[in-house]
Amino acid sequence: MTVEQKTLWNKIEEFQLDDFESTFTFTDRLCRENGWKYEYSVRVINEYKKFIFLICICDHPLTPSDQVDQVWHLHLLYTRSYWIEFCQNTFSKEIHHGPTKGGKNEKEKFGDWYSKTKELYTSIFKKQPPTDIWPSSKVRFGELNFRRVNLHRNWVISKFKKV
Amino acid sequence: MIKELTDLSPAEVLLIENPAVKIDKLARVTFFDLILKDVLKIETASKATKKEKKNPIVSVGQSYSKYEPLKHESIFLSVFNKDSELKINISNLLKTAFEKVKNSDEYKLKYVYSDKRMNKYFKSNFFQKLFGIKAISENGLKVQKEIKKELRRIKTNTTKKNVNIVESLIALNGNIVLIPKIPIEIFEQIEKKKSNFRKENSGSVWVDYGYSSLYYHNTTKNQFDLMAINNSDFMPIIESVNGFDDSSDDSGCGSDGGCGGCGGCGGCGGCG
Repeated sequence: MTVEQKTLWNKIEEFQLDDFESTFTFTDRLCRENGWKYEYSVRVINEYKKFIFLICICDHPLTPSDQVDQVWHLHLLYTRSYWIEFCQNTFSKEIHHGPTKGGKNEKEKFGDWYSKTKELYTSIFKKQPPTDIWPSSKVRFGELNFRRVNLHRNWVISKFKKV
Repeated sequence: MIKELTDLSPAEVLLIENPAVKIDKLARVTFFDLILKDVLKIETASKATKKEKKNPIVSVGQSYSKYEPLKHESIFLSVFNKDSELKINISNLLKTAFEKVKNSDEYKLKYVYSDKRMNKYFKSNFFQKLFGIKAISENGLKVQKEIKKELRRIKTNTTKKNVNIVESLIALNGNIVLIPKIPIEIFEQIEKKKSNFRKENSGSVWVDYGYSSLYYHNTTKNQFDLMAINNSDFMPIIESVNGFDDSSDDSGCGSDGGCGGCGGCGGCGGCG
């Protein structure tokens, strides 16, 4: 990491997504909407910051893991925090979120970008991205069947895992 | 000084002193003991606002990699075991810690009593074991009496700013966190003694207790206080991280300029 990159990373790392004086924070919402443990959510938020940092220093498109993408989606809902405090005031760059247009070519494109993202992560942070947050491409693009479920009316039962 | 006050952790001493002690006190002294041992460290940015100072950043300290935590300390370290470079606000660290614990009794039973060192002070018969109840043993009662007497002596002399108490405070090691409101004059004496000790023992390896962090512990109204207000059992945090059904009312979308009716976003195969 260059000196400039280090300075930028420190700024992004210090950025607060939570207003700790509120009773229902960004991290609380992330836990509830994804059914994640608090500890896991805190770690995914940190990985989201790393991902945004990589976008800032890189001149080609990058693709996040689904977990990191969920943090990004939620942050985009907090429009003032995302566009003004984060993009404008923290790193002076507009980072737009571009969902897939669908189709085989798009899948291959995003698969390639995801691999490149993890390679860049390793070269910049000098360690492998954690696999429970950055899974293999097979898992990343093979398990995309999510749906919003009303837990007041439905039970969710896990399928048996294949051995 | 009795060996329990130098050898046991502050949470273990507190539990012997008062087996009915609540998790907020146990967790508080455990956390600050980890700070003193430099297993964790607290930082606030120089430009931090008053609000930010109440919620400082916690990260691993120099002793983290070599430190073998006791079970009741592990709730504060678990998140760093997965990412040792993580920097986390103390409010978030507390939530990660308390999502592992349902209440005071569970914390005591699973994390403190379960340590073999506690067998000397607590016992349980067959039926008590069934219901997860521990009772203080005869030896425990004897030690309890001595701990109370010794802590009372140190607290009284510390409040009176008696400089002769400095040696006793240093001998307490991490259990110094059990002494509330240590005056700054006494802190200065401790720092001086520590500095001399460092010069005299430059060839030795020893744990450097960061008393300046303890000063923060004594003087700053921090996140522990904020969360413990009106609730001695930290139930708001425990409920907020263990039962999200309770927060289901918090689903409103702020009308900060108006939030359009959203049709939802499609399954995203990745983003550029």
